Amino acid sequence: MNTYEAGFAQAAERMALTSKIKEIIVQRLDMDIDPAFITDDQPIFGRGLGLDSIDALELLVAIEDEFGVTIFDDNMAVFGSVNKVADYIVSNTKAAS
Amino acid sequence: MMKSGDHMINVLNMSELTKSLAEHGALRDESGYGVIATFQGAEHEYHALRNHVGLIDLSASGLYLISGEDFVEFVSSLLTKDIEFLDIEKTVTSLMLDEDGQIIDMVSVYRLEQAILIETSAARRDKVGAWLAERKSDGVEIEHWNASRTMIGFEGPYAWKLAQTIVPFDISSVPYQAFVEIELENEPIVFIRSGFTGEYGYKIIVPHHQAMSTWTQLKEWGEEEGELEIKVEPVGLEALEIAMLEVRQPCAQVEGNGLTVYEAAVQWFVSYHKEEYVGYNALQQQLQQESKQHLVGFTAANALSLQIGNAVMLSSNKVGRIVQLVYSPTLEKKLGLALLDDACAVSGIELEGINEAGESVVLHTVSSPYVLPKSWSIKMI
Repeated sequence: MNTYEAGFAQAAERMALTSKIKEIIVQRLDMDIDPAFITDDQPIFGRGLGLDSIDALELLVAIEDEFGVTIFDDNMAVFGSVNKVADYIVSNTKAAS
Repeated sequence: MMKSGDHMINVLNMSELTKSLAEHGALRDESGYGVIATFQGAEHEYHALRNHVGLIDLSASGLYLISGEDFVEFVSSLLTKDIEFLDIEKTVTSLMLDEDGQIIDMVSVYRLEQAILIETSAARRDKVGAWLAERKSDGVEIEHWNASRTMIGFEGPYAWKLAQTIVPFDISSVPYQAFVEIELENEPIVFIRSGFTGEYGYKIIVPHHQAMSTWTQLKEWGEEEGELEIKVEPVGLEALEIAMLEVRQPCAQVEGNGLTVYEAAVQWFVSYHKEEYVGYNALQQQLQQESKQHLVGFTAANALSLQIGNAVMLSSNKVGRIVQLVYSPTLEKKLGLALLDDACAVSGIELEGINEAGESVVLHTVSSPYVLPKSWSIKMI
């Protein structure tokens, strides 16, 4: 079980990652909203953030640029939420190291 | 929840369709409206939703048609979503807030040519109706469609095949969050593409007298897909709520049950730049508060009993509480939502739930969608 401090440190690290993903989404897709307004678990496509398949391709490139992690365009489940993108980055960064 | 009997049927407010179906299921009281909780058991019905087609009695959901010269301005003043540019035959989901910024309901809004239809949850139907009446101006008319119409839903990875039997055009031409007014057996109906579970989802609104025959017609449909015999099974609210939680689809009875918009993490039902609606100022104050909590999904593999309200701890320090808990047949685990202090309200960490007996249960916070709907890998042909 986590110690109190270790648990919060782990949570802070995760928050930093999801915040960075939200900033990338807003910047790369030129969205006029505060990144913090995006929640970790809302859908990225459709009625969530309202993004479409063209936006997805832009995000694939952005994620690779920023994190060095490749998302293939047949794996759209990664874009289920900001949290899913974060999970994918974490697991693929670990796998590469 | 109780097994349906004459007592329940007499006490609860129900459509004729629900009264007929209640003989075969267990009813739940949703603020005075009878809703079928289960027919053959939630797990059986859940599998229909995730693998076949689940047929859902939505007749308890409130349907209010708003018309008159000021109908767009009136409805817009009550919604957190911007509907000014909502196209005709399109639908959007929005929050309806009171003046204190508290969630009255999460509603679906349908833009017709000369009116807007508002669909409420069953539990908040009367509350929304009263709110609309209270705020109504002279240039607005409100018609309670439940007096003459019944809504039925169906969802599942093959629901589009069933939908194709209703519409006289290619089903793939109906985009998500769109609807059309068509005829079914020479009666005008509304056919909607919109769902709750992440699977292909549709709703139809039919005249009352057509409801039972339409239900029966939909239920009797079946088709072979390779080795799979696609079936349509009636599905109650319990199975629907499990499938909704699995894709983090908010539910008015959970997210709207005393939580703020921020706590419920439903800001995505708020248009960022919209300022003119009831509850806007209170909502801004909520969002600016420090020291907050919000909902995060978690799983628990341990069989020890947890309950809604149980404390959630991080290394012996209370950091929140459980607000929803179901068993996910796909995950084969308990799946829930916990209201956690912001500092630890993230996916991917380990916490403890403390049950009534004081026993500790390991919780893992997880990322939505917790289950990938089968429909995401099935294309309409």
